[in-house]
Amino acid sequence: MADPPRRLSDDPEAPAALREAIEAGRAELPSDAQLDALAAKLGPLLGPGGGGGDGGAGGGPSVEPTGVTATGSIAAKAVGGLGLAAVGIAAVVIATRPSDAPPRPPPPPVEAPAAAEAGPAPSPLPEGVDVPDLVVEPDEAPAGHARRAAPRFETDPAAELALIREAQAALRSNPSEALRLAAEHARRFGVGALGQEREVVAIDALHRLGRDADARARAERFRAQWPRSAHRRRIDVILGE
Amino acid sequence: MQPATSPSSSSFATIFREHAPLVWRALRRLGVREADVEDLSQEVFVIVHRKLPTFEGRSALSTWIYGICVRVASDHRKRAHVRRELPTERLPDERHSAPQIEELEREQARALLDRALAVLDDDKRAVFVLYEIEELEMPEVAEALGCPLQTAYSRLYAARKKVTAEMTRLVGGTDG
Repeated sequence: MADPPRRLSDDPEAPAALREAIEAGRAELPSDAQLDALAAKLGPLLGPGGGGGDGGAGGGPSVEPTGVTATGSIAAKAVGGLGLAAVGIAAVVIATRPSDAPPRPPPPPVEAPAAAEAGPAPSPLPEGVDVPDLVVEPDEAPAGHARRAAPRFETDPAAELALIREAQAALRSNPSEALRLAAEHARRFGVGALGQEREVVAIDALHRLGRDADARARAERFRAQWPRSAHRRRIDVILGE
Repeated sequence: MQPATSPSSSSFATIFREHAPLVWRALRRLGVREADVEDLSQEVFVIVHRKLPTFEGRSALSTWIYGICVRVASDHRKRAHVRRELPTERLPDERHSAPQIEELEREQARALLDRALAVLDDDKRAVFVLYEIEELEMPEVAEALGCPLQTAYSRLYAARKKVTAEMTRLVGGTDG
């Protein structure tokens, strides 16, 4: 056991079909489009633009399945094509959560965030559901201004992911519930890591509920906020555009 | 040992860019259906992002991420009662660009590989995938799986025996 065993792909005694199959397995890598879609799902974790679209994180020639052996070597590498000069919203929120501000327990009533206040008033929803959308994380308070009682959002990625998945799963059978869950996401997580996903769910749900005007208005706001998002194509499909 | 800090989006984006193809491929060979692999890859990277500040660098970063892949794939099956993909012999659909013969042959070979891998339990499959396909060294495999090196070796040899037998059976035409 001292010597590492020869890999089957290099072992002439292994069945040829198995060696070929292993080589084929190694060769299966996601397409640029698939990586773009994945990058879009990770959204702000990857930095501005959500990493998707227009040659996002996965796209481009720099995506190589090369082994990386240490964090340091990764951090030292030049990062190209991702627009990474700025720090992603969610990463900042996670990194800078005040130590004296424990995560807010779910879901007490929260005042509407600034962007939602500025946006058009939401039209009536089924079952009285309120859906704040395009919630913008609170910026640093300007100098000289007293700190607002800015909502402090939860920053548990697993919980956020679970909520979005629940909303996505509800879309077909119960779009009203999907819309309610989207609203819950906005209240609990703000933009969060999956704000774009949340908005796609909300747009889809509105469309399924026959509220096309609301869906289109929300889609417009989405496009304005995330002009390079890979989700734009999905939204176009949802709205038949 | 690095102090625990939250990853900047730039370092995380770099990690994503360099590892996303590996994560995708590993999940597929670990039995994640093609329809689920995007969601599961997302889950892997959400975990990577959350836990990166606690990554101590005692193993290679890629080894650590492979370990997350194995656990995510395993948990996925348990919680969702999802069965591993049991590939059929049908040809892939026409999502891919040109139906080139070589690519079709690779698709068929992969389908064959997945059928052979399907005879393995989770533990043996993970060792086989990480060593034979992802080409980790055995100590890295053991590290990723959190098992003793000798256990990893035992699983590897057992997995090889089963996969080889199954592949021989499949290409011998005895498969229904």
